[in-house]
Amino acid sequence: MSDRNRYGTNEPAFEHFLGDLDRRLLGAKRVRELTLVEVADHLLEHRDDAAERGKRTEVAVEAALDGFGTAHEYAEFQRSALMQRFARLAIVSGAAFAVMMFGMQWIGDGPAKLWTSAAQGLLYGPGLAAWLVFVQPSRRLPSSSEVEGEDFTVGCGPRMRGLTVLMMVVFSAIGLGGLAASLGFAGQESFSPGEGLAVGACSLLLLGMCWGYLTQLQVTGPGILVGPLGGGTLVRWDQVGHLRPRTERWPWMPPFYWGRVLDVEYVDTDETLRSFTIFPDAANASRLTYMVSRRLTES
Amino acid sequence: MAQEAGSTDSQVLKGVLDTVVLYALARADNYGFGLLQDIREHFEDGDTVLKEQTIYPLLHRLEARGFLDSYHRPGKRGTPRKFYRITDAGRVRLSQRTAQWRRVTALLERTVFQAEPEPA
Repeated sequence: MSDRNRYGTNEPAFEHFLGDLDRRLLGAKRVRELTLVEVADHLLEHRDDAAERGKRTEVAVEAALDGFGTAHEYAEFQRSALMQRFARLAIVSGAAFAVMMFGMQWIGDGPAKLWTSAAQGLLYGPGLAAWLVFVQPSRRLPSSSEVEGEDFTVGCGPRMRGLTVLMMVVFSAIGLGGLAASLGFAGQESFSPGEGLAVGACSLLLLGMCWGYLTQLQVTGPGILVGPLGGGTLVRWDQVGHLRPRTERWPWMPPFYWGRVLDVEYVDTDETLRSFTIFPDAANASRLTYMVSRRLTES
Repeated sequence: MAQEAGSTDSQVLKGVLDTVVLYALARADNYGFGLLQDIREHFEDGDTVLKEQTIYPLLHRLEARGFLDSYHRPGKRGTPRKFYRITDAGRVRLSQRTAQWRRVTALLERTVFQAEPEPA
């Protein structure tokens, strides 16, 4: 796609407007793209609608732009929404991290380091929030090739999976070190037994979260193939029972995602109730959510 | 004066837009422009009540509050189009707001509408 048709509208006036909007929006390219694609679709739809009502193309383009308002107004709205989300995430994750660190230090060394924990929370909270809001959006926009066709894959890309494996190796090493310290093995002076236990438990929790990121869901005609790194169990469409937001089970979970983490419950062949997760930041997640909810409504 | 009255109408109607959007999406999933068209058909003065730049902030706010969910499906041009869907929390919100508006309407019916003569 040439720079003159950077936003794929094939309409110079729209390209100019979207370029102006792009320059005013906050965030990394993937964050801005979520807004730009929705606005581009709106402008093209308005133009086509006006043209169908008998307006000349130039008039229809002008009507679409006039109707939408200025790039400045829209960018202000996006800026305000992102800043609100940043503030909310920074407070929630910062407080959660400070409490966790305080608990670990309490177990290990007593409550003397209260202010250190609070400072760590103040540093960690805004850092994580800035990453999630301005750099790595929780929702990924599917490419055109991903939205076409019947069969598709839901999951993280190869780079993210590679990073996840690396993180799992690191967490395993830290967790084993922590558990060894908690059991009093020699050579683990970095942790007191209490800290070691807390570090081991946190690492196990993080390993579990990483495992979720390795899981891929392959959607085919008969159902959904669920499994890490390809292969796995085929869940037929008629086995799927419910689609539930994760917050129904764990309402205390911090709102790290813009979209919702959803659990799909199904009955296995041995009549056991099982579930798999749809993470909103996985490619095609919204498409699978739509398919599952549609099928549940129809059935 | 007429302009002032029109502006007041818009202010009043803006207060019900959350409810109207939730109601429209409770009937069927829709995308921004489609929803705009759908709602405008139900307002006599739709173009002035619901501006295009109003609909997305409204949708995104309802989504951030958990009343709506969104997903991408291919649009007419094959590119991803963002559709909005009402959630269970959104349905609860819709029924609460509907009940509130019913009470307001009933109150006006019993008081102001009975006392005020219909404008000629």
